[in-house]
Amino acid sequence: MRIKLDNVSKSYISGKKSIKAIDNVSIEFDRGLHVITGGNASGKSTLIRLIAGISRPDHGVISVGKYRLNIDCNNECLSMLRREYIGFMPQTLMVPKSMEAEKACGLPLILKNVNGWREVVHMYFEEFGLKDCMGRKGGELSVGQRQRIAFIRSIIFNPPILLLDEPFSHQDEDSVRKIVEFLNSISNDKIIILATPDLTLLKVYRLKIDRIISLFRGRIRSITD
Amino acid sequence: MITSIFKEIFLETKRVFIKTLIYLFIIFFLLVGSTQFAWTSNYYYVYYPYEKMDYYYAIELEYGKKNFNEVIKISKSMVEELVLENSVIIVTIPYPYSLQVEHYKVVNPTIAIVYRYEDISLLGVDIRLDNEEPILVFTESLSNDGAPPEILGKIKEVSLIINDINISISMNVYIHSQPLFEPKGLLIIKYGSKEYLDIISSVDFYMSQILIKDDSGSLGEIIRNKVVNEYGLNMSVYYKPDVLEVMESWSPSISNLLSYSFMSYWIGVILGSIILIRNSFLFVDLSKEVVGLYLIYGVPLKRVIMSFIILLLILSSMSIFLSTVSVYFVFTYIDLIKQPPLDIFLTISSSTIFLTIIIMTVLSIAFIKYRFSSTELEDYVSTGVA
Repeated sequence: MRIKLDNVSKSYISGKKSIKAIDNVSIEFDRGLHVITGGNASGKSTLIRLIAGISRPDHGVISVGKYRLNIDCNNECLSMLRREYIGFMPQTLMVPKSMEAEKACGLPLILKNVNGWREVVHMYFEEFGLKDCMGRKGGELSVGQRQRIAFIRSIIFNPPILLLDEPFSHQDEDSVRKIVEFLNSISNDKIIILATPDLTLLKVYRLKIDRIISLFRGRIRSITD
Repeated sequence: MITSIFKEIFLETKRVFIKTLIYLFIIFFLLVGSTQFAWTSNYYYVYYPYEKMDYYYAIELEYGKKNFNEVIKISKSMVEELVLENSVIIVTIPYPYSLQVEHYKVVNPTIAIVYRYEDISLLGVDIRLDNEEPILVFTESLSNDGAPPEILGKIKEVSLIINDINISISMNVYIHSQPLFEPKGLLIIKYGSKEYLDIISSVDFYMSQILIKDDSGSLGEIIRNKVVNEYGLNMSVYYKPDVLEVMESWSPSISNLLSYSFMSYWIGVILGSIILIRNSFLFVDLSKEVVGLYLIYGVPLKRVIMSFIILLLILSSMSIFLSTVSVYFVFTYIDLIKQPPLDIFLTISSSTIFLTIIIMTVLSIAFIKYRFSSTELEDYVSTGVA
């Protein structure tokens, strides 16, 4: 499976202004760990959302495998992709306050009618130090815990593509280390795209990075292998 | 390797088996509970002293679509034909119809008309011979506290021997739905008299009931053939003593409400709820945050709707049932209505449940669809707020 962006642009309206979040970007992603970096409002999250099929581009084509997201896919098709192929961890959406932690985490498995989804969730909870969160609701958890739950949700169904938007922003050292270890162990088999403003952290924790894509004002500034 | 495969197979089989067993239990409890619940609620009002008789036939003539006089005529001729020695026939006549003695001229030789008001107090007894003046008439209105002893004394033993048929009336009058009659003869019972119609107008009966004691146990079929084939009426016959015991047990009381049928119904509901909450009951949260998450993973709308309907079903049946029973007991114990018929309450209750479910389902579907269509996924993911 391969991800391909071909002359993709995306603008947002802010007040009366139109802001170009992604400006004519063309890039391909194969297996490996790709880090998208850049300053604030450089377009990292927008790029992740475009590949996840959450946002639709104004121009260009985004392909995930055989699917041209903005041409062939309706909302149902996009949901199916996120359910089957794309593990997506957004920056803001983590665990709803009213939702039980296990359920929020195991949602992709529940929808696949996986028997014993709770046990699988518990296994991951233990691995990522979330044992205390069992049986609790989103509102009762810390931001860091919720972020880790969102991370587990994105990997729990073993998708071939993983889109992670700033997964370390609220994590303590131990959690960062665990997530990095996990990503290192799977990065050979999957396309992992990770957005982060801070490359230093990744280097400190020795994340095996295959490629660094640096964005500036919605354009690709550099690509480093 | 082989051991682990066998272990897997064993664990999977065990899991499926236990799950199936749990579901079967729930279905069993729900089915048994609800059928008994429905059944008993239909026939609770048979509260005559059956225990004194070996076999009973409770025949309910549905005259709703027939002319009342026609049914009376049929009842009358049945009474004529079927009054056998040692058998008892009680025809209960619903209150809105004022019985005229002449309707029963041919019910030879004796008619006893007992006026009563909701089993609480005996209002009068009027026993006449055909075409003659009443030989015994008690028309005094009695207070709800009970009948004056002298009148009761007179009523208790009324015995007439006419045309070689021994007809005697023996009555015990109690307050609050205790057995009113201990009949050994032919009784035609009229509910209410003119001045009481308003009071009891909230209570309606659509059945004429004929109870027949039959020691031989063979009368039921004869009656059924006659009623159904010859008169073309709808009829239900219940003749097993145990059936009637259950019917009788449905005079309302706390112990009856906690009886097997209710308990099994509620055990089913509770077990079902636990299972649903653990497994299928997953999509009833419709806060904007949650809907956003549903949209990301494409939770099917029908699954959300089903979860909602299940939730509504359980909640509405529980709440409406409990409130109905509460109201019923309040009414009973503060004496607003003397002995309100439980079946009416339960009918209202079940109708309300169905209506509520239908209305709530429609509203829920509309709301769910609105919620799903109005949530902008892009905004939601960008800001975390839909």
